[in-house]
Amino acid sequence: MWMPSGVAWNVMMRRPVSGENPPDARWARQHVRPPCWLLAVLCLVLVPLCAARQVSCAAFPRPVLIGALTESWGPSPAIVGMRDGLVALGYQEERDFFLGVRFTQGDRAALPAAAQDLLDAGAHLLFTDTNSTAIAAHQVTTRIPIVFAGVEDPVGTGLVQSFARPGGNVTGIASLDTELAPKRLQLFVALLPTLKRVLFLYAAKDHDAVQAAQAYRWAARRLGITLVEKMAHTHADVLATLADVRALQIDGMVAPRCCTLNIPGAIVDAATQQGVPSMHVDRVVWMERGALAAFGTDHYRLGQQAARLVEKILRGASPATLPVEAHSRVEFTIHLRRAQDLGLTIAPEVLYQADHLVR
Amino acid sequence: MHSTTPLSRLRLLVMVLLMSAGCCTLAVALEVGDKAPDFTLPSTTGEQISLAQFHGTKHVLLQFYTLDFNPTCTANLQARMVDHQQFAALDIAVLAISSSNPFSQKMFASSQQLTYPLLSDHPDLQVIARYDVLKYLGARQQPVARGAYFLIDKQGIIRGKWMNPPGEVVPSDTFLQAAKERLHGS
Repeated sequence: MWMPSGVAWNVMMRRPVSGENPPDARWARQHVRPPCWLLAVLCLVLVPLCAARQVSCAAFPRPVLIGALTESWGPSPAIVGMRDGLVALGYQEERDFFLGVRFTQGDRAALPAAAQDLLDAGAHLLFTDTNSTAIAAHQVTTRIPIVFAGVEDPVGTGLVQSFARPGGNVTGIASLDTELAPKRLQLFVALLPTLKRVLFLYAAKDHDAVQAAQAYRWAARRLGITLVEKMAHTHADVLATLADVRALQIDGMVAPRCCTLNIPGAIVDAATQQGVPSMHVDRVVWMERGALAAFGTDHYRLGQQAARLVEKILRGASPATLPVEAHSRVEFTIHLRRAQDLGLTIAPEVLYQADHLVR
Repeated sequence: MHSTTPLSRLRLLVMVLLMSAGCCTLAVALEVGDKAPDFTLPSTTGEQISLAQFHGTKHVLLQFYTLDFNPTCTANLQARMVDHQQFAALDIAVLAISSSNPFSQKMFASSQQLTYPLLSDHPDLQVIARYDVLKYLGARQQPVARGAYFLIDKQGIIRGKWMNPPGEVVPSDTFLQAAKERLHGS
């Protein structure tokens, strides 16, 4: 950035150059340049530079109304991560954006109406945290931008035309949780070498869980264990299945990723009450409630990554041309105290694989 | 050196007294028997709701809550919803006020399927301040409402006041019993 030389600065500041007499009117007319032109130049240079550093929501009115749709019981880790990601990018909640979270408490059928609620309330952008919420949001609008976090197969589900060029109003961050199902089961067996029968309970309408069941089925055959599949249509089905897990001769339980019919919550409760180990996908929430282990995407980080896409859209980018990103970070977490409560001794080579050890 | 005269000292004393009086009028603690400050705020019904609209027709249970999605606040709001019919039987309208912005608050109310309106005092929190339930939360010193309840009769007079202990769910019976004794004389 140009700055005036020392002599010129003295002249403009009306200081006499060394050796000269103090300035009078004649001297001033000869040497002093009025600073007005310099101020104008500085304004032309500085104002755009300063404005560029400030948050700009040029494409949307301020504050931007961001509607988050989730099947959970409140803001999910992905939603919190997205919010924190925007804050880290310089956006101030309550000034630059309002975040409205519309949740359905495990009721998948209520998602389209919930998405419509967000649109009726004036949401400028929708954020979703699972495959089902993204599909529900896409059902109600093909115009309002939608950013997803944690969709397994955005092309296969019709949300985007391709990863490189989504082509519509949807883009986001894809996850690999279903692809990781075989590895998740393998780690569960490594934690529990005596594991013989594993329960996989899931909601009949949970598309991701249906896909995961196929992967677990294949992995179970390769690992020489028995996968006990149970499909639930209502929360009563869930509770009935989990009422006495030991009676089913179950050694361990694998939970689906998301919260339809509150299955992951019911599994972790049954696991702690009946002393049965459980393996989950996301470590947030479930580890502190008593799960033995988790292997999968950190959905909070997924949300943080999605915040960058949200920010680009807020600055005027079109979702049609924003490539879908993949989240490649996968974490393995073991709850050591839970293992101790279950009387388990975990092999050192398994412990070394863990990214997080919870005590 | 300029010396202070008695007159200048008197002027200074008067200024200090006036400033103190000005500060005191901002948030005077409301007590039972005081007139409840009127307000008009946007609500989750989509309409502006004012306290004055209930004058002569309904008593009001005015609850202040801190944050959407806070477990204690959510449980307290749900408790009032569960007992909504009992409040209606005593001619009591239930309202809740927080500092949340209207958009976020509406989604929270829809998700909870609340049967009574939530009112937004965003962004100025003037009503929260006038009812003297303003507090500052966390490292960022976020201004929010303290959990509190005011039972207001049809003439706009405060007939009951309760501060919500942190982390506690106040049973509706507390307010229903007070309403029966103080509003209906039973």
